[in-house]
Amino acid sequence: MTKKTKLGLAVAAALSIGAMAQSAQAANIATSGVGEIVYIPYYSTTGGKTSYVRLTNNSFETIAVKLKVREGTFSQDARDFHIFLSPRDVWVANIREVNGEVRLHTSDTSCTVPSKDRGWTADAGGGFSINVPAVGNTGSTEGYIVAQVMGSSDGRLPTQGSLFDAVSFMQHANAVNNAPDSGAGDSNCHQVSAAFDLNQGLALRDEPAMLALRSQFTEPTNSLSGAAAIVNPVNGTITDMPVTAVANVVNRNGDGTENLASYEDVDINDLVSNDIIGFVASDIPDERNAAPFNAAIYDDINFAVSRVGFAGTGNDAALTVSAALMQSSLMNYVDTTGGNSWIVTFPTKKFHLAAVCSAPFPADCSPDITSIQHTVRNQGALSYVTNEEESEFTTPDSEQICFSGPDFAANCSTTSTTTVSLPTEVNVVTMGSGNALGSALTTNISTDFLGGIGSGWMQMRFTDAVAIPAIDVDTNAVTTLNGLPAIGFSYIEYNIGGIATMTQEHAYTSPLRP
Amino acid sequence: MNIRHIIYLIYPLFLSACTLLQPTSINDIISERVNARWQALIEQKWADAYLYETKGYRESHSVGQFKSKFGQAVAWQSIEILSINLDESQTNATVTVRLPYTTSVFGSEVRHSTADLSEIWLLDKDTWWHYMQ
Repeated sequence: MTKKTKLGLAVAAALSIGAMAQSAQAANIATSGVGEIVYIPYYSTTGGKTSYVRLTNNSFETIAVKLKVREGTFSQDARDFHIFLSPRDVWVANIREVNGEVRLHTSDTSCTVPSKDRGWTADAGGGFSINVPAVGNTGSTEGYIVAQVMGSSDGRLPTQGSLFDAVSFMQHANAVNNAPDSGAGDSNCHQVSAAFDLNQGLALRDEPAMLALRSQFTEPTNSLSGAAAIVNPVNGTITDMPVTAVANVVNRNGDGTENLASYEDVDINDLVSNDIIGFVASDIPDERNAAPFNAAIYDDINFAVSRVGFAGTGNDAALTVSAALMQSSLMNYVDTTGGNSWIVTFPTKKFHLAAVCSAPFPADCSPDITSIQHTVRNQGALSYVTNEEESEFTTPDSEQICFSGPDFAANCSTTSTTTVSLPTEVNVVTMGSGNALGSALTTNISTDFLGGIGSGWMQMRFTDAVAIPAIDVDTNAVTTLNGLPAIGFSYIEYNIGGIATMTQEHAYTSPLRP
Repeated sequence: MNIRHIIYLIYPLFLSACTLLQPTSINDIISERVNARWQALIEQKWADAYLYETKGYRESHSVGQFKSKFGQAVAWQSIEILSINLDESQTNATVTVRLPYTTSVFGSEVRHSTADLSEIWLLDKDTWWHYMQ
């Protein structure tokens, strides 16, 4: 769990009680790391790598979570399933290739849908695994992961009909995975899973079995946090990855409080429910379930939080989460010696894909980076030069500031302009030579364009993005959001007598910047 | 018993001994090299493992540089060869191995897992060498 670096002390001051209430009514980056949606910006199974995921339920309630493994080319849902996490539950799984097939493995006994006795395979070393079908250009060997809270329950039983107690069923002590007709009775988890029959479509979402389960769940709450790591067993490294949490995606009360009404509180025939529990192998729920269509945007110029809204339905609903994630530029450490890659993931791009891509993405769906500002520190400096302003330069050219792109005159690059396109949902931007992650989703920024060999700071502006008009919910003023919904980090591989890795989450500038 | 009888008695034993001593196929030869290299890596005998790399790699990298390609966050346990695929010229082999290992993710409990790896081995001067990718 890593806090967004742009939300430092200045933001803490800006988030007064009033501002907190505002942001609570709008989807926002969860600075606490606890939210309704958790994004793990990258996973990889290439070259024998294993990617680990940890999800934590930080609440006193049982929560229903939808986990999606999205392939990195076009964000296709390669695998999705439900997980029911009991209060304070911690769930761990990994993704890796086994016999040429990408598989997700867990030893956790939390109930899943499908249950472990259908669709999952018992593994020889213990636990269960389920396949991640090959989709996209990478065959699902690379992508990102989304975990979304669908509903939460404090264990209140429904008052109508003969219904099972799902919440107690989902406690680890009671979670059993007996197969049907095994002689040991249908397992608790199997009964829960039966309510989500894979062959049923959305039209049957309100059938009695499904209603029985949903009647015990209310609106999703900010309860989920996550962690992720990639293990490379060949070179013997473990790389922790920053994750991004988005809070307050569903706030039907509109005043920042959670709506705790479930079917038990209303006529069961009155199909008003505040959970967003859906069937497995269905798109629902996803980022389009945001309600209301408001996003909290941090203004890093005025140190304020603005709440912006959007009109429309369908993919416009995805604009809510897109806006919350939108950044006008990314900034991070850069190293051009071959061991550095920037992961740049657009987790909501799939909702903007159509015959022609919709804003904020350009029509060709491959946003160009034509403005990269960076500093390069020559490796031949005679003494250590820090990146602090007050550092002394021991050699005249120990630090160069290079500008490239149509707005700046190149003064140290042999290539005056170049266009770097980010064509996929997950982009692994390599610097100079080398592809330390062994990725198939690479976009390269050449050493020439970067102005030579060295390390320093880089800012990547999304100059090709299409601005989004939005309404300031509190002032009714029309405002414009610039940039793209992007998450990710800088991956650095270095050698100190043995190989080691580290990551640093991207810093961002606000989409309210022109 | 004359010399012929002695030969008749000894010859089958000689053939059996030769059969036991010599690998019977290219795959056996490659397997022996793959297993030996990984055993050296598991035992962290870097200089021994280094000797299985191609001549080109050894000419441009020292043992120290070879050793520095590996980190310490994963403990390899053993190796299992899953498949060996030779190209038409029979000088290039793709070897798939399964590597059980232990590691500690999220700074907590030890986790056991396996990794399926694809290696390239090249034939040069009648010997198979690991190609460092």
